[in-house]
Amino acid sequence: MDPRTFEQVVGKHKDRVHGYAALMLRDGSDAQDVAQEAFVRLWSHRDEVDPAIAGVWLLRTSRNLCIDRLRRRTVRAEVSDGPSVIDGLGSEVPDPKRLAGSSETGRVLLRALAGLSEIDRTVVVLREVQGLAYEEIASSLGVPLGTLKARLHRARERLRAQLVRAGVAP
Amino acid sequence: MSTVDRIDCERVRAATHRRLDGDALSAADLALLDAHLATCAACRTALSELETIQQALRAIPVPSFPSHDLPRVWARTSRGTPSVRLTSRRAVLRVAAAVGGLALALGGLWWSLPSRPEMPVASAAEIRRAADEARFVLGVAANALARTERAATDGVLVRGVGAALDRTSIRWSGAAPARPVKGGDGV
Repeated sequence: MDPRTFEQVVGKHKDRVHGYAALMLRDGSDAQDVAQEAFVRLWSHRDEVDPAIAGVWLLRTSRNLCIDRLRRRTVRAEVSDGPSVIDGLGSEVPDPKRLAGSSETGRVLLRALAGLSEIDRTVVVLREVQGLAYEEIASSLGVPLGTLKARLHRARERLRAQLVRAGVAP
Repeated sequence: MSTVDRIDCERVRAATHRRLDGDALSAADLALLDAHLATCAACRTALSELETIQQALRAIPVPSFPSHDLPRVWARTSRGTPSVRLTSRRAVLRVAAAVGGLALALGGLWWSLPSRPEMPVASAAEIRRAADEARFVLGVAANALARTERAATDGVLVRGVGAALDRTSIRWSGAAPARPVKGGDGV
């Protein structure tokens, strides 16, 4: 991969990689670090990565970097109420027609999302929030399409159950 | 709820998720869905909630990669200080080793030739001295190779990665990794 192709790949996938990391980590600074590190690693492996699958490669690398960071956090830090990108985003989801409730409900939805396991959150974020194709997500996770869909179905039900438990079922 | 109803609920729930996936349902599944939802309040509620949650998730704004961070990425990658890559150094070492091995093999072959030119017979002391000189030359070559590799590594870590890191604002969340010190002994 030459420098020009590399920069085109980064330009094409930067928002997706960063968005995924932000939704997984709930920390804008950490998300930027993860995205940068993923791009640097892609550059280091530019001779081995086919530009056609660089998007999948970046997602897989970003996921691994996110897992590393999540492991380092304590459970308490994971659910802390400190300022974060996602808390900010929560207040921007006030559509009463889409989610019966206020911005508080949006924040609860995002908190419920953060309460899912890493793999459940990953499939929900990639599919439901970022709208990636099933095939692309399956390739990134290295699982068959049927497995991915079964995982997504379970993750949706768990998210709904969390919202019901929190008393904010839509 | 009867066993038949529970089975219907499970089938309807599976069909609900397929619908959320955007899959086209068969006519039989659609008929089952409609008939079941008309009589099962629990599945009706579940479908409504799942659809609402899906719409709410799709409405979440995804933060974009900050444009001011791109120059930092380029500085660490495509537009950064050219560096000696690890694979390249290994390749150089492999070539050097191959050349050395080839020279030794050719030397051995030459000595084993039955028709090689007549050479003066050397004494044991002369052979030992020649071997010592050969070892000395090989040692000098090895030291030179090691110095070259060390210099290349220092160049990468101190002037390449170190300089790039100095230009970034990466916040290390764990223990800070050891940074090379300029003017030090290198790695």
